[in-house]
Amino acid sequence: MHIEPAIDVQNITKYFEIYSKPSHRLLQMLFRGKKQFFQPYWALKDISFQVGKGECVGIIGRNGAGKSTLLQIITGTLSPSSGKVKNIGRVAALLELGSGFNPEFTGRDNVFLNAAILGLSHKEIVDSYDSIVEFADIGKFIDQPVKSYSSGMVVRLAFSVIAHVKADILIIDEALAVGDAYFTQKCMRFLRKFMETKTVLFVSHDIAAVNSLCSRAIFLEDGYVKVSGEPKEVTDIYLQDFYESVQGKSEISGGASSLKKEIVLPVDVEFKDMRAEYFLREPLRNDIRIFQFDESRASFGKGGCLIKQVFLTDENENPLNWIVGGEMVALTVYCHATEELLSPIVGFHFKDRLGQILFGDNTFLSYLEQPLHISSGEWIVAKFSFRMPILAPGDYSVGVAVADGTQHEHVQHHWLHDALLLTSVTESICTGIIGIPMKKISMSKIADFESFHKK
Amino acid sequence: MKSLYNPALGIIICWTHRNLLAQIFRRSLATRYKGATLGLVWTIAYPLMMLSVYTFVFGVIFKPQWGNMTSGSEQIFFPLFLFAGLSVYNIFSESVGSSPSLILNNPSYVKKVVFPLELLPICHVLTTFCFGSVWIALMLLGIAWLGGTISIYVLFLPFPLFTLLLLTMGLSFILSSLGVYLRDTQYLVTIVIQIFSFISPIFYPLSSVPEKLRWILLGNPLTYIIEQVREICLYGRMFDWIVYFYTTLAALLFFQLGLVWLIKTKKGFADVI
Repeated sequence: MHIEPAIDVQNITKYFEIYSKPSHRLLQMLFRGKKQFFQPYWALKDISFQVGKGECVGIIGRNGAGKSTLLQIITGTLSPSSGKVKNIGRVAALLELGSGFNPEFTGRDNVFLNAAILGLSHKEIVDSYDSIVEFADIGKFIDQPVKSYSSGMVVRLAFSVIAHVKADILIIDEALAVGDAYFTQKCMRFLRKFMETKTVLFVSHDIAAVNSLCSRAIFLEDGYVKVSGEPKEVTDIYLQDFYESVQGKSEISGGASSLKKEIVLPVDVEFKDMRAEYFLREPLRNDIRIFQFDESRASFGKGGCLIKQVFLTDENENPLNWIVGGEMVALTVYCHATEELLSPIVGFHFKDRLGQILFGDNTFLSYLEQPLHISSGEWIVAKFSFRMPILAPGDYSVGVAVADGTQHEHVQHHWLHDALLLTSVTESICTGIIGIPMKKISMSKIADFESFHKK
Repeated sequence: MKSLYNPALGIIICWTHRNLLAQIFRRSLATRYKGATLGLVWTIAYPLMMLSVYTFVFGVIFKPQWGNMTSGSEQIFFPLFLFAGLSVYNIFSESVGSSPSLILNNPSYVKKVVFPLELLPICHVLTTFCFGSVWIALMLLGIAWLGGTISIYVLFLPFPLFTLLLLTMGLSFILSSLGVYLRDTQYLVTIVIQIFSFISPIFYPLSSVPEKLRWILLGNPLTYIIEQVREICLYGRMFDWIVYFYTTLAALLFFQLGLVWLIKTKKGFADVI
């Protein structure tokens, strides 16, 4: 049995007619098809994909890639030049700040108007009006004309209406960027609940949001689908694309290193199992398994300096293949330079399964005053000593990169998305995404605040 | 169902979106004289002022030939005859005059949300009718006040007004669509409406037009509507039903054509606005 997708986009193509003079537009209407007075601008080229019910798909891409055009076509406000879109269920769209709002009317009037446009009957609107106002949280401004609202208030009200129209498909186009942190959190909570049963399609430039919310991501470039798949995969490629556009095409691409001078390290390194120090197998201990560094994993960069080996070591510099959460470790990165580097920076990111960055750091500030000047052929070793946090069960990765320059302006020489892979295997006491081991936990009775405090 | 060939298409659209239509209609009425100090007083003040000016210019200065008046002297009833024509013309010129910019002025309804754009001209014409009917009411009040009799046939006023409704809505559909593609439409419409004020029997009766040129007025649908209004309100007699039937049929066809035109052309609006 074939289950109908909630959104079915089939071979959508869209071009806009660019006329050098408005009179040409009139001439075009008269000479339909026989002559062409316009330059076609191809906004979308043969786009096809499906979104199933309950999926959340994020669309990312540069400005001008065609994201908004695609969303408008899916919503139905723009007609495609060819191809078709099939939606199942009620579609509610937030296509731009205050779309559908009339600035002259009050917030109250606009709620009724907008909800009516989105398909609610009068009774339904009256019933949900109080709930809408509460969610929007704009206070007495609800009775003021919308033109007096700040952009944050407009988006709060617009989103609030959308949230109450009992839509089956929600389409959001970058409109949420305007809200404050409090509101953004509220939206995310609502979206997570909504996504349990319904479908969401949204455009964002916020990679973290896409990674944490979406089950799928689509990278749109110049009107066609460049990549579609797991959010982490797609956002990694998006990141690579960004760096390449700034510093030029990578010398390193995909998994294979294609440089002529290859230096291979001896593989016979002895790995130590940190757990061995603990004779008793404590049920509360957090065991984390480390998988060996693999140079062939996904990476990009200019190639002037290559990361050759990454270890997690203990305090005595023994590389580990099992670590225990809460213990001191050092992340050691070995890089080999093939070019001269004036001020190299080595950095790392600890990421979870979804690609969300948990923590990380780099050598920039530590060596700001005295940059380490490297000549071609020399080696760098960077070491980060820290106490390994307690990780919730699951898979993690450590991304490592070496760059040259300053933190704000630099050239990425080698960016390895997943230099090390880790798996946390024990049921631990971890609450939250990572657990910080408590140095001391105490609770005692005191007589009163004053006498205790003054001590 | 919602096929383009369904003659009741207009009614189906209005019913499907009745809540939305009610919303925008209410707003449209509310914002008409919003912010104006005299507010709703203008709905009465404006027609009275217009009437005074026209009466003076055409009744005193120009002194046209009105020939067969059934009751009273020329001076008293001329303003009322004028008013009958002016009322119809006012509704026509207001509805049609601002139609070309109806959709242009609401780009967000075209590009940002899925909105039944047909509602915009419908709502606009209905609003104009609401305010325009004040003119008709004033005219009837005037007749009563000046000692004339209000015949039973006045109850048939909704009929010619219905024809006017269909006609102006049809025109509004077409012009609002054209206005999106060709900005010139607005200027053309302003001129054409001016011309209509002269080729309609507003300031003079149909009978005073020489036979050879009468075809100009007879081709104008407003002529029939104005004459019908005059027949029942001022002359106290029924209008010709056969003429009414044909004019209304033509208006209905026009309405349907206009509606279908708008529905077909609206797909391209988002590209142009």
